[in-house]
Formats: sequence, C-alpha cells, structure tokens
Amino acid sequence: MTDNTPTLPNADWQDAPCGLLIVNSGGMIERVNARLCAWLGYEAQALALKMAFMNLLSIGGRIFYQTHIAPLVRMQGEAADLKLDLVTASGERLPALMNIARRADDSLSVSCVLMSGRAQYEQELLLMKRRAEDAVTNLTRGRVDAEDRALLAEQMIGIVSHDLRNPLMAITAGLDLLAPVSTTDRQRKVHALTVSAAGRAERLIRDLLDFTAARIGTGLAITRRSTDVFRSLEDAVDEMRLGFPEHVLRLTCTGRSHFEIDPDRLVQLLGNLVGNAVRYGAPGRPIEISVNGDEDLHLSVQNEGSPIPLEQQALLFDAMVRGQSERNAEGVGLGLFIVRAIAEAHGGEVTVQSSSDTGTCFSVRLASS
Amino acid sequence: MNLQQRNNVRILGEGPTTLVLVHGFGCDQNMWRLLAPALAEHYRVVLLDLTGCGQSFTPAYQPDRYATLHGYASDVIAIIEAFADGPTVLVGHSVSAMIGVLVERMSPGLLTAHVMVGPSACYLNDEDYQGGFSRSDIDELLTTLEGNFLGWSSQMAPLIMGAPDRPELSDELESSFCRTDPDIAAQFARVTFLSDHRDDVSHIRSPALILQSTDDLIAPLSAGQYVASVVPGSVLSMIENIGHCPHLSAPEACLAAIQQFLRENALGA
Repeated sequence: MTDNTPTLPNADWQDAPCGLLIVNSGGMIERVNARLCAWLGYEAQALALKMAFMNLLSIGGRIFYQTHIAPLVRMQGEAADLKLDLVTASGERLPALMNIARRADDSLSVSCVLMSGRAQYEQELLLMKRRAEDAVTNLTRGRVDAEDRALLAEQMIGIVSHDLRNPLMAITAGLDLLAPVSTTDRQRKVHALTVSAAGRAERLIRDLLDFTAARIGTGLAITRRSTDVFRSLEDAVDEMRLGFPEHVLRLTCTGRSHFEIDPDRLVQLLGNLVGNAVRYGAPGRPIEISVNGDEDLHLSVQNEGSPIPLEQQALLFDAMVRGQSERNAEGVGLGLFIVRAIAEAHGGEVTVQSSSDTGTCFSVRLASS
Repeated sequence: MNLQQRNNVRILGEGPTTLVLVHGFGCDQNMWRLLAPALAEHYRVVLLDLTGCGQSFTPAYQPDRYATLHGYASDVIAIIEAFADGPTVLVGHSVSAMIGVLVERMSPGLLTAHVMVGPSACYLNDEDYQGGFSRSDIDELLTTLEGNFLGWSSQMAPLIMGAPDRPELSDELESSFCRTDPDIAAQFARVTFLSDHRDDVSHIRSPALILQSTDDLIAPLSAGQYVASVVPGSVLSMIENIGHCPHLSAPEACLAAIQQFLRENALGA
C-alpha cells in the first residue's frame, strides 16, 4: 500500500484517530488506513482489493446502504451522519458514524469514527422515548374512557330524573285527592308527611335536571322578566318560615327593588342557600337574609356555627360536595352548584366567607341585565 | 388535497404510451432523474412519490391503509386513471414492481405491460426459495433505520458536507432527497421486506421486462429468475451493474433494454 498525496503523507493518515477507506467503483476496498485495520482485526493485505466495502457492514446496514445511502451518494455526491455497524474479523459489531463522498472516478472515500458509548446512550434514549410514548398512549386512552363514562353517567342522571317526574306527578295528584278524605288525626299526619316527602322528591329531581342542563346541556336556562324582588323574596321567606318553624329567618331589604331577573330562579337560589344554613348552621340561632339593590342585585345569607374549613371552601360550589353534618342529609350535594349556575346565568357570581367569629355568609351578585 | 398534491405527481413529455415510474423503498421519484428525461422524449412519463415518501403529503399516510402493498396499489390505480393516456406501462423499482403486480391483479386490463427493475416477489428465504434474507436480517434493518433516524429531528436535514464540485445541486434539493418520516420508513420497511407476493406474481399475464443487475444484494439473481419463471413470456434482461439501482448507476443500459422491450410489444415510439 502506498500513498503519494503531497499534502498528507502516508504516516499521517495511517494512525489518524478515525478509520479511512477508499472504495473503488466496483465496490471493493482499495486502500484502508492502519487505524481501521486495527479496529477491524484485519491485515490491510486481507482487505485491499479482496473485500467488498459492503461486507464490513451488518446485513441490516447493507440493506439500508443499498436502498438509501448508495442512491443518495450517487445523486448528491455524498452522504453524512450515517450510523452503521462495522463487523470485525471476529464477528463483533462496532457502532460507527460514517461520512461518504463520491470522487471524480466514481470511487468513494469513507471516514468513520467509533461511537460505542454514544450508541449505547442513544439506545437508552430510544427506549425511554418508546416508554414515554406508551405512557402517553395509555394515559390518553384512560382519559377518553373516563370521560366517556362520566358523560354516560351524567346523561343517565338526566334521563332518570326526567322519567321520575311522571310517577311523582301522579303521586302528588293522588295526594290532592286524598286531602279531603283524610279525616282522622292519624290520617292527616300521614298525609302531611307524604306531601312533604313528595315535595322533597320534586326538589331533588329539579336539582338533578338543572345539574345535567348546566353540565352537559345548553346550560341552565333563565327567563328574565320585570320583578319586584323584595315582594318575591318576602313571600318566599314566609313560606320557608312555615317549612322551618324551629328556625328564625330575618329578612332585610334595602335599595332598589325592581329588576329584570328570573324570579323563580331567584327563589330557588334563596331556597338552596337557606336550606344550607338550616342544615349546617348553629341550631336555634337566627339566619340573616340581606338584600340590597343598587346597580346590581346583592343577596346574602348568613348563619352562625362552626366555620367551613378553608380547603373545603374552594370545592364548595362543585357538584356532589357535601359538608360534614350528621343532621338532615337531604339533597345530593347539588345545592351550591345550582346557586352558582343561577348566579352565572344572570351574569353574576357567588362567594363565601366563613370564620368562627362571624359564622358563614354566602354572597350572591346578580347583574341587572 | 388532490391526487396530484398527495403523491407529488409530475408529468413529463408526450407520446403514444404512458410510462408510470414508481420508486422503491428508501427513496423517492428523484431516483428516476437519469432515466426520466430520456424516456420523456418518446413517451408520456408520470412520476410520483408514494404516500409517506419524498414530497408526498405525509399526513395522508394512514398506517392501516398502508399495512400491505395493496394501499399503495390503490393509490397508483387512481393516479393511472387520472393521469395516464393510452396504453400504460408501469415501471416499478424493487418493491414497486410488486405494487405493479397488485395493480394488474386489482384492476385487470389497466396495465399493458410491466417493466420491473430489480424485482423480488419475496425477500425472505423460504425452504427452496432464495429471497436472500432471513427474518433477523430484516429486524436488524429496522434497528439500523431507527439509529439513523434518531438524529433526524422532524424537519432538520442531515448535515451536508458540501460538494464544491457539484454546484448544479442546490442545497434545498440536496436536503430533500429521499427524506422520509422515521415511523413511516420503519413501517414501509416491514411491509416491503416481510411481504410475500409469489402467488400474486404467478397470475400476471401482461408482458414483463425484468431488469436484473449482475450484482444486487437486495434483489439477487435468484429473485429475478423466480419472477421470470412464473410470468409467461417475460424477458429477463441482465444489466452489468453493482448495486440495487441500475437506473441510477447504469441508466444507458436500462434505457436501451426498456426501449427494445417497448418496441417489441408495439408500444415503442
């Protein structure tokens, strides 16, 4: 083997820290430097004009070379950044990074550096990448399944609640017919309890329907109309006093009384807040209801009693959240969710303040239009 | 996204016969750059990039559709119906010779003849059949692909060393040669090298020219001889060439053989 290159004497490239090859146009190795021979475990004489360049590659590398690299080198004269395994005389694989350039006489010059450590690192990266991709796939699938189940459950609530209304209407109509014929004390007592239970069932169903409308339907619907707010609320509070005879409900009204709002929703909102105050407030202590009309309508309901823990306050308006109370677990935890939905449908909001000094106060703002 | 854009279809020349040139695994229509201009002097030449390769519209690649070569064959049928004029010859390199076989099977009469460049009906050895490869060879190819595509962060072209003696190639063109999405390349490799179309090829009745390189690792002589033995009236033409791409490294010999074959079948000009 001789080299007559004037700029780079033979000895300089023989031990350069990279493998260097000249491959003739027939694909045979023509010249090879000592460094590469040492890596491969071949004598230079065993390679030069005796072995095809292809045979230094693994079979997988040969296919990639023939289908991709060779046409690339032919078309653009070169290919770089090629990661191919060299196969040594003893059959060992040496991961290498190669650059190949075509020369004027259609021979190739090839340089390669070993990259065992880096190849191992890349292998680990690939493994981690695959694991990450699998994890993302599983998470996505899990999330889609959970969303499907949740949606189905909410739709089911809507359908069942809707269907329960018909038999309940029949029960209520039947109770109306039974009222005049309930003559004994015992009959009147049973009748009154049954009427009250039917009323509770009706409110539960209404809450569930409002919940499904707010969650998956078109949103909670309101119909604004000209309303004398003070009057509506005074009537509603009178009714509530009958419902909660053992509690003191105080109503204070100030400012403007006439608003364009949904009066039925307003009464529903107040009913939910008062129901909460009765359920969770200190027994026998008065419940303060304050209404103030300025540009917007402000309404607050305050009760004494143990405060709501701070960490619970943030979740209070979510569906299915209920406070800790042994008393009277009426409802399914939708009351405050619906209060918020009504407030938001009116372009307003609801907030809560709770401390051991002042008790718990829910404040609602409803925008006038 | 129309058909022309999806498969980067290009039409060159006019003539009594349409030649549809379909590249193989690992590259794109650039592979025909030394053959297409000469053919276009006499024929209507249709060039295309298979879906997922080269400058095709990659988002159109659906793994299910291209899980076998039939998806590619459907694409080629649609392209022939839209762009071919007169008798049509499919010139398929490597795996695309089998795509041509499926085109004839799926749409009989659409093709008048086949030119198969380095065809192989089955790349895997199977008892007496010598495809040239074992299953573990193909697995090794997939590993090699993976290693080489690791550095191809989505849009970045691999480093070009710079070819001062080849100013005719613009940087843009250079970096776009045979680029492909790594996941698509891996699936295309599996579909190509694990397929077995020996039964399909035995049903071919159109005349076929087989261009067989004298030294081809991917499609060895035994593979070309097999195709020649099962296609009645096929012509096996040996091309003095080392490697799998005689249309790039021996274009004159390929051109002469194709011209002669077309003339003999009354398709020439």
